[in-house]
Amino acid sequence: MNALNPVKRVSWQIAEAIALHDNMSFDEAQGRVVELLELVGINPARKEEYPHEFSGGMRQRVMIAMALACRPKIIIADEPVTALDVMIQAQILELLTKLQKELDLSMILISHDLSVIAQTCDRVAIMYGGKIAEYGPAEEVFLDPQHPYTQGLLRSFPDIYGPRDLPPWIPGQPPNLLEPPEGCRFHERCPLAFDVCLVQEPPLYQPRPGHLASCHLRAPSS
Amino acid sequence: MGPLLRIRNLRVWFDVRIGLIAGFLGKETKHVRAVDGISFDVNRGEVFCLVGESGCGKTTTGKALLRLNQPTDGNVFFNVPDKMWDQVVAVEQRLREIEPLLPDPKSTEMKRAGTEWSRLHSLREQVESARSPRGSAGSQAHRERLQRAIRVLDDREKALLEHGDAAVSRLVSKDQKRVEVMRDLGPWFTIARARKLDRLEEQLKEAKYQSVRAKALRFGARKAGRTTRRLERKIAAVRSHVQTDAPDHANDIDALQRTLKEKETGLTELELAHVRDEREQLRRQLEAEKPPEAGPGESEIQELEAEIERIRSTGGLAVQALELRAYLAEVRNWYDLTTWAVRGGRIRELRRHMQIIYQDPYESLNPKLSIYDIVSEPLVANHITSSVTETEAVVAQALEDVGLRPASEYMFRYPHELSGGQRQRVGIATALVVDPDFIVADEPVSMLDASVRTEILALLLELKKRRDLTYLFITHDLGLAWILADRIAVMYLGKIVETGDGPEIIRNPRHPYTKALISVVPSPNPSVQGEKIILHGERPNPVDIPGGCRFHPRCPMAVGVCGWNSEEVRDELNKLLAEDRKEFPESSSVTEVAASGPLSLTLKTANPGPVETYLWKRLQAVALGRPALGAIRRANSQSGALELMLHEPSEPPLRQITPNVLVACHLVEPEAVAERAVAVGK
Repeated sequence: MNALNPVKRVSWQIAEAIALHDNMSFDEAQGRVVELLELVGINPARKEEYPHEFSGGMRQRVMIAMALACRPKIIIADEPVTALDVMIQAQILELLTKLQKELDLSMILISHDLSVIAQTCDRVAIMYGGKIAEYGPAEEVFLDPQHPYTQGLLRSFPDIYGPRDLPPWIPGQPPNLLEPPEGCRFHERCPLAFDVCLVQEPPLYQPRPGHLASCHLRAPSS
Repeated sequence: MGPLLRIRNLRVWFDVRIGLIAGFLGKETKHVRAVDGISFDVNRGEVFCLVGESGCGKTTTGKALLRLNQPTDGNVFFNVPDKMWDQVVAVEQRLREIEPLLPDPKSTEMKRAGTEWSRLHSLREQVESARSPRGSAGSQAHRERLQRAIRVLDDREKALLEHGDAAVSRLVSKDQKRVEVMRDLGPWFTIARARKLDRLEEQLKEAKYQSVRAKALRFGARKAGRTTRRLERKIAAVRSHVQTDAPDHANDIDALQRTLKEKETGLTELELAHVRDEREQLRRQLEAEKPPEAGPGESEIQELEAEIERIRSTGGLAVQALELRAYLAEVRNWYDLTTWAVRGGRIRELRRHMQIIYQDPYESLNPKLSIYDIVSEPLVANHITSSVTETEAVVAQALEDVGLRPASEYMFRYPHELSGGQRQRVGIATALVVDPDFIVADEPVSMLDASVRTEILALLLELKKRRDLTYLFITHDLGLAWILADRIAVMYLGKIVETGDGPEIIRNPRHPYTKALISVVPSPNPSVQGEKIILHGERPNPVDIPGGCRFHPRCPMAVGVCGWNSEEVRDELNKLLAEDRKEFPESSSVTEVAASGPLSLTLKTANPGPVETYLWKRLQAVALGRPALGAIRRANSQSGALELMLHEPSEPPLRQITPNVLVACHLVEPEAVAERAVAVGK
């Protein structure tokens, strides 16, 4: 929402990347700007406007256009829908999925909203305290989570299609990364922690092909 | 127990500035119609969710209820007794019935009714005063009241003479503290000396500047140098005094204390004089009153009542209407909080009953105030606690209640030292500290991390149970509404489109907007998601709200009667004609489509007859995909032109669909359903 420069026109901001990397002048880049705006669903007639004249959803679309300006192969989308309304959120996610298919993009979607990830991603890595706790195909991770943290996180989400109760939550605070806890980083908040967790950091075990979890409970011997 | 709040036709409009010149030229002021006539009840002890996209007026509604926004129109009844409400409803019903039958308000008939009514009013007052045990001036009860008041003033006088005035000593104790500070600073510090030093240093600064300036100008440098040196000497002299002796320090303190004492006695004297004065007045009043005469007897009261009945029966509808209106005005005056004065009025009282939790804990806490200052502010501002110790105890209790334990740990921290979840707890504590009955929770968890969210929600629900609270929960997240809401109102562009029982609406939405909103709520379970209905475009500008149903331009299920205007139909028709150019030769004979009025279009064509037949045939075939064309109701062939008339737009009212659900949509109305069925059949 605040990533755009408020004193520059939208066309300038998109053209900037093209001019810098593709050895074009700003004027030459305008054709590509129009193309990009059409791609993300903004009327190109509005390209000479300033960011404040756009709504939140439109601004996010402009950001996407900027990201696509140099025809990247991979996009890192950092919380692209967090500050948006549900309806706009759905519009943006639809757009991202569409672009990803059309342009054959790879995308790293960073989000704290598990439901957004569940609806859009192929594979997912759950991070905790600076480490990957679980990694695998989205479907598998969401339907059969292997790490207690993922399990707790999934349970704590209100689900409009689920029962009408307040979900349980994971008590406690995330660890202080100046002095990360010894052993498993999640052991202080883990309901299933046992003695090994306190001293030894679990490696990424592979309970299932392609599905990794960093938890002692998933060690082949236990 | 009935509803705690009854909101009726609430409107909050904001003026759009048009500028002075445009105003002089008579340009019309436009309004942002943020909230545009909504009605709902909030029952005691329930969670009522207001749901909708941003900009639909949820927050404005919440703030208007607390009078943080000024409502433009409408009523918000707070805590009306059920019986009285039944009567109000009956009176309103009756007024609706008779108002169309009333004569013109300026007619002589109406004027006569006015005088009749005022006579009726005064008669009724007479009856009431005769009947009421309190009585009026001259009655025994009134004399007793005066005597009691005099006795109270006597007591007050005695207390003042013996102990002085508590309020005055509180006032003075502040100055007392200042004296103590002076004493602590040591003997060198006297007021006169501090002032003198200040003054001299100020002068020295000026003199130094003058001396620099004089050097630059090569004029008067010697004089300026002399002044500087003189001032420096003076300052040194005062300072040397300061360090050695201080004969006036003790004197200063004594003098100050004396003046304080004088001030205290003076103020007490003043209060004493005031009390005596007032008592004297009451005494005079008491003497002036003659021993009670016989008031109107039972027979006279009956006569008065008969007179009232006579006026009522002969006065007709006009008098009756005036009477009913007066009754409603009185109820509004007492219970409608949109009529209460904000400054110093009853709104202050309201703050103890209604509070708000803000959305963004990072923005809503003043970074310069400690947690104690933030939480204690409502207590101090509303004069709820009277001493610091009491305030501290209440604040500590509130902090512990919201899970900031131990309170002493948090009380003197600043907002930046807390995490987001903890800050929101402070926000909740600030709302709860005055022990309200009703809380507007404005997206209280939307800025928080997913893992903290549930914790805060659980806290809110627990507090609700423990303190018997009622929530108006504002959210755009239907997933939350599903879990929390007893009842829901879904808002779109300042209007309620669907309202009623929460779980029922979410499991079985009837309004297309609610359906779309629910369909796009993502679920963490990837296997359950149904088909998403994504609305395209953005909500329209609330300055220019679309006619008819305000949702129709974005509605995926819209039909002809939803309120299309001629411009929308023209654009759609142009598209159709362009597509049909090859297949239907008639279409190419239309040279121009123009909107000739808000509800009419003119097609310029050489042969209107065949074009009309072609249009009717095509319109039926494409009605489902192009709802705007369904708005064409009638066609008139003229020479060289074809005139099309559109359906009158009408805004769908909230209709009761099931005992618990109300929906505002033309699609739930039988005629529209029939139209759609026809279209689908085709």
